[in-house]
Amino acid sequence: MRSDRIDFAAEAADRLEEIGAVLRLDRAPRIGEINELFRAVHSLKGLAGLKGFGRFAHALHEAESLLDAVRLSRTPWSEAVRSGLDRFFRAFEEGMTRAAADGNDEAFSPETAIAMLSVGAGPGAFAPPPSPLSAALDLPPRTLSCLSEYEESRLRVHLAAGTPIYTIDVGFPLDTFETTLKALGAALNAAGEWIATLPQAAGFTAERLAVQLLAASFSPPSGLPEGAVVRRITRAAPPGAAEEPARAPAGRTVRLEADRLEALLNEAEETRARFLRFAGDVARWEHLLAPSDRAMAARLRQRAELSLSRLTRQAAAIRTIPISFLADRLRRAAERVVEASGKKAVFRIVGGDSEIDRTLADDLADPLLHLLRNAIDHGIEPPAERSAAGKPEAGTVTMMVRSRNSRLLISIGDDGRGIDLEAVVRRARVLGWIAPGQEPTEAQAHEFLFRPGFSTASAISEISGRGVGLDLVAERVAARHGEVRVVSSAGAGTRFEIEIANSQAVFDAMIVLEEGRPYAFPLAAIGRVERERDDGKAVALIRALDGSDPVPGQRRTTMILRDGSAISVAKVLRQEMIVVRAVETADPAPFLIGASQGRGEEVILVLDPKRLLRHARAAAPAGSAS
Amino acid sequence: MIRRILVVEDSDATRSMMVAALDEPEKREVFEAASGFEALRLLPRHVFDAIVTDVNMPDINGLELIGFLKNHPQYRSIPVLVVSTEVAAEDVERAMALGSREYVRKPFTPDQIRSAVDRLFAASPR
Repeated sequence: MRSDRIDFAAEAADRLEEIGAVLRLDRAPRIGEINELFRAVHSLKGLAGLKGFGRFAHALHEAESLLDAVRLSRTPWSEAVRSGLDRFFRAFEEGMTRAAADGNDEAFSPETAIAMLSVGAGPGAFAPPPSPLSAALDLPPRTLSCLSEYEESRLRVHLAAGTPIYTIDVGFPLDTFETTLKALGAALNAAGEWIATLPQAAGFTAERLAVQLLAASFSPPSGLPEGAVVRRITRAAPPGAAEEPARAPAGRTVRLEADRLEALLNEAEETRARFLRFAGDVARWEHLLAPSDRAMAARLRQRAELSLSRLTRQAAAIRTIPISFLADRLRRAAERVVEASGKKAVFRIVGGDSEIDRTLADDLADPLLHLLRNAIDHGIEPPAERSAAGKPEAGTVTMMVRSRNSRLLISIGDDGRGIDLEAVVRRARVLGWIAPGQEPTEAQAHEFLFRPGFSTASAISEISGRGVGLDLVAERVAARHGEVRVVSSAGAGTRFEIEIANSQAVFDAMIVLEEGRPYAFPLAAIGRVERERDDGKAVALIRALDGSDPVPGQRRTTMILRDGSAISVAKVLRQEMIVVRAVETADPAPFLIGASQGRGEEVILVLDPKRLLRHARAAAPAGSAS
Repeated sequence: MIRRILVVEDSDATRSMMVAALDEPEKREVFEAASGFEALRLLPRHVFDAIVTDVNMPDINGLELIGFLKNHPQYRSIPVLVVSTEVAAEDVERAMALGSREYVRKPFTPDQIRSAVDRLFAASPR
């Protein structure tokens, strides 16, 4: 077995050498080099798995995933990516040295290494204007014109990586087509990437269909069905056309007054709404035009509609920023706090690509910073104490962000000592918050933490003592109609969760009518719509809202949710992209997501169908079935 | 005269809404396909007066389907209506360039899709 380890060490050293060479470049690596990096990590992972080094393989898998995202242009290459990988492989190399002595990888902590890789999503890359694909691929224009934007981007990625592209012409019986093709596609994906499927008009019958597949692969596709014709379509690169990496510029930001931004966004929305009304009128008159003018008018109308839609969506996107912007600020703060505390801790971010409203990001920055400081300062134990408790010396603080419809859930958790509930209760007694002889519940004790005037740290630390306390965290969050909760278990850690309405969200919705008023539901929640279904299982919207019943004999429409439950409405009006704002009332209904401006003056209430049904069930008197 | 329409859309919710909007006894008969494959299976079995298709679908997408139709002598003249979100604006432009006649932006009203289909028929009387 000794020789196995030596093999692994020698092989791995070679791969690490290749990896280091790319990471130490004084420029952004070319896509080809990123692919090399990816392949080196991939083979290293395979090697580690083969030799039974599960911890190494687990950590390498994460590095491979990150490189895969970079390779597929999903994550732009940045200094953060480079330094993260650099630190990861340094830790890995240390682990290897140790493993060579121990004969196993048990001293290696994959979590610690993986934490070094966490990179917030960077700003979107601005791609240079692309050169025509016909220059690089020997394909008729007719075929190229059938490719979608996505398929084209995949071809470009592979062309940039130097992966040869092939066409595969193959025919199948139409009745077994899907299964046969999927199997072939899986084989192509194993060897490279299956990019497009172009059905061929020539020779098409009710029994048989021929398709042309486009696939990228380093070796010519093999194991194909009989009669398949493979052709390599990548042209040789013209001399001097060396590939240049599509370099993402640094994320530049500009400052601008919130009022001006708001005015611009409202104007964009208003313009789109007006145009849609106008276009509706125009469409009604188009039949009066001569046929040739009619087609042109329709096309002009459609083009204008497309641009305006893009304008609204982009305008709405200005209002939000990726949470990674906030996360980067927190990460820098975390590094400073860790340094000053004399503890060891890593900061991880999960869900950094969520979008958050700018003003919300501003309002949450301080509370999150405070929670983060608390976690490091009071949560994470000193290294010696952690070792004694059988924990890794370095603690982990994780910020997790999830967004659902227009709700945002942000948590900051640590794997530290947990909250000392007894100390909390003692302090509350001193403050006179507990009546003599009473024993507060855990929830009550947690609630004390957020009251003004509460602080358990006997010596207020240099770091956390300053700035806001938990009472201010609660106040800030409440000011945005959010909630803050705490989950803690002694010895295992503490997690603070903030749930808040992301003041604005844009999503597709189904607009329905009930009792003459419009309501909206997120389209994603609805499975299908059926007319005139009445098996008594659907809950009438009006019943869920105010307990009354719809007019008998009405022809109603049923929306069936993904879980099979159903809501009936008087009418389905339309599907529409809506801009949803949080409703600022003291006590919003639990199923209310927000409100959206309708096409006229009316306000459309946006409802969460699942919560609505839950609310209806809770409100229904026992024994009442509908 | 009953017009036969083939609706190709992979989202069940959207497809059922299109069918509900277009299906009208004595006037329009609607056939459904949940994928490009299903559409290709139905094509030789019926004579369609119009095809309404989504763009972004797995395996065979709307553009590839339109490319197929426009290359086939028997299906070349069937008018095509493209239904898609504005996120796929670039793909819609491509569909129009391939010879689609009309475009309806998702999300849409039943009225919008009905009148777009009517415009297809007005432009190509049988």
